[in-house]
Amino acid sequence: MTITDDAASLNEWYAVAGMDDLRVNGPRRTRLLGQDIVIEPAANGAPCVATAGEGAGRELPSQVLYGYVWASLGEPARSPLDMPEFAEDRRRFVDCGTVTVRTSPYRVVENFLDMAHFPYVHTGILGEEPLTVVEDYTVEIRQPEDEIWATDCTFYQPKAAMSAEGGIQTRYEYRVGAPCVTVLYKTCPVVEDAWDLIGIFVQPREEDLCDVHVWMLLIDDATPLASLLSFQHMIFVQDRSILENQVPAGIPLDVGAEMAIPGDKMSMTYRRWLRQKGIVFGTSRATA
Amino acid sequence: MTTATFSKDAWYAVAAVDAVGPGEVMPATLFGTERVLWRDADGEAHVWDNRCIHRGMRLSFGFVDGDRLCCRYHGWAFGPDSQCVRIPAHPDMTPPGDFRIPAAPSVEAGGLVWTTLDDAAEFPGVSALDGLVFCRTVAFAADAAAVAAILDDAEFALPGGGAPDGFDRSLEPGGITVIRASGENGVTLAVALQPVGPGTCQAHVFAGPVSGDAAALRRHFARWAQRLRLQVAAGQEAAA
Amino acid sequence: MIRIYDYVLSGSCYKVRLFLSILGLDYEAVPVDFFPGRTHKSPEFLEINPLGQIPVLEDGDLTLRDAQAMLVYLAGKYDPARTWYPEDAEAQGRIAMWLAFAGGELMNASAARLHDMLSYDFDIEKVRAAAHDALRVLDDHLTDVEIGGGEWIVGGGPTIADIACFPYVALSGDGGVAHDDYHAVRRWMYRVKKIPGFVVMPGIFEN
Repeated sequence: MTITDDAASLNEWYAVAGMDDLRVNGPRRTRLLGQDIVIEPAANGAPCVATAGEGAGRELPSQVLYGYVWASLGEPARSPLDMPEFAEDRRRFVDCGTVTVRTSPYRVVENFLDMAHFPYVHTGILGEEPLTVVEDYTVEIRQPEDEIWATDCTFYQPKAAMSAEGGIQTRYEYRVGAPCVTVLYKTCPVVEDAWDLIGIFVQPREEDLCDVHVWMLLIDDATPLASLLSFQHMIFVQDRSILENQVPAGIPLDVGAEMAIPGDKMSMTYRRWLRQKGIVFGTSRATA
Repeated sequence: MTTATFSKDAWYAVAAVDAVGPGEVMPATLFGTERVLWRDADGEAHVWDNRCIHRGMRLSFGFVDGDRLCCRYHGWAFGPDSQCVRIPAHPDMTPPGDFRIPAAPSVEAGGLVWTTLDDAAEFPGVSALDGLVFCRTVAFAADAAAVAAILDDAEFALPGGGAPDGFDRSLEPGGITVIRASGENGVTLAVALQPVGPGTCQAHVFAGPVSGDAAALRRHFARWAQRLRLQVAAGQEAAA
Repeated sequence: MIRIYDYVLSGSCYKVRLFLSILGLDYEAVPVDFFPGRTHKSPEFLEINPLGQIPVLEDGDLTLRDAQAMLVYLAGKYDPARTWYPEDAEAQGRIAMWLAFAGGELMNASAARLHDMLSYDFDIEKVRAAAHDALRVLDDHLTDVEIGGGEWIVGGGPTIADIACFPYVALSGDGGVAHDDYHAVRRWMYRVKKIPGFVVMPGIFEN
């Protein structure tokens, strides 16, 4: 397997390992954009990320942020997204582990941004018939960060979170910080007027294979860890069964390749944004 | 006997009629092209492109609601004419006319569901299966052409025991090989081959006539097909 | 109250959750941090099950490991009609055969899934091939059952053999093992889903 030559993809930061994972399991051998890499925990200081396999031995720019090791195979123009909530004492960070999915990283992000599937894929949990309407919401690209934000999103959820008792009208905000970095802000069941954060940092291994680092940043001291993980894993693997059966695996960026409806505003904005960046890796090209 | 050829513009069997019951859905592949085969509540079979036009989700994971096939991802419902009739995210919206799944021609005949990749191809008719009962479908780890070549020489024992005096073989339209055991207790075996993709095919096995115990006849040829499957797999391993 | 040490993504735990639901039994599910915490391998959990596996079932003074054993117990204790695990020796022999298969050869499908989802270290080509071999055996059996006018793995109605085999068959796609070749298996899965009390788990749909 060789590294991609898609510059737009190379010049980004990607989460490549969870700090908890390195602490418990030692060095992580993996792949980023076709390039084999290894992340080694260091006794003092930050882990080191280097190329392995073909073109081995080159140390990559890396940093530790939000509980993960990030690396780049190119020269990113910007740092990863800023999430001030991580500095709040009242919050609890939950590393939900890394799940491998056989599809394009952008299909994974797009699914994360979608609400219309809640009643069908997460039946009785994040949605249920007949409350299937996706109400209008606002999408904008915020500058200078160049991030996509969707606000005023709302959906009725029979069981919005592990701690939820009874159905609620959940409010959401969605944020795309980079092509493979997305986080949602949802109604916190424990504290009024606060958000819980759930995010995925997608690590593209190959064009149709990715490792998804899943995490949560909650205001919740009461719910046992195993219960929180159970809920999040349930949701994620329900999505995985869908993701692995989308054809083609590469996300089609051509307008009209797949049909869109008003509720797909987020996904259409995301696809347009990817197209403007010139992303090629992980996309379904017209000639393919 | 002439060599069987499997051209992309012909009709092929993709399932026994009972393989998919009312309200059921299954994938069916020809030459690597994926189709979804589903049967609506009225019992009518449909063969469509196995991909939802919305986000590419395989429709073979979908569910049937009356006369509609619904996509598992967002619940989009498609009517028997493959036209989208409902989008749950916007229930008041009438889906545009171009929101339809490409549908393939399909026919149920001789106890099988047939389809083709060529919209213009005419269904040849399959009288070769008249008077025969469906035994089972079996998958082979080999091309349809390779299995057809094996069927050229294949023999079988009679259901009641004993070997026939000889065999007559013929190739019939629809990728069907017929092997007739000659002699008094003559039995006919017909195999409709489905070219699934490189190195893989399915065989829909029929036999008859039925006199008395249909289950015994079906079981006999189901086991024959399983033995042949093993033989083909061993042959592939030896060749590898 | 029956208690099970449980993990939502475990097909083995689901065997028991599914059967408990079908029997209409209340139970307490104690969530285990199987991933990423691997607490089923912790010293504390090894005292509950020395094999370091889930599910574990507790009912009064009884503690059981092995999902198949739990199905046998629950059927014997809570199914007065004795349809899920009939009392005759022949049925029990045949069911035992398929329970061993469910905990044996069919677990190759579980291995393929753990490899594909959570990067467990398995020879993936080998386990996928073995999973296909197991599905083929089940499909041949169910084909024969259908020829004889039947619908279930053993006998004239569903038994714990069907419950034991269902999860990893239904989940095999998660490990890259598709059902395209296994028509009798596919029809049987539809039948299992219609059993009153049927519940799903991630990776399995209700219809």
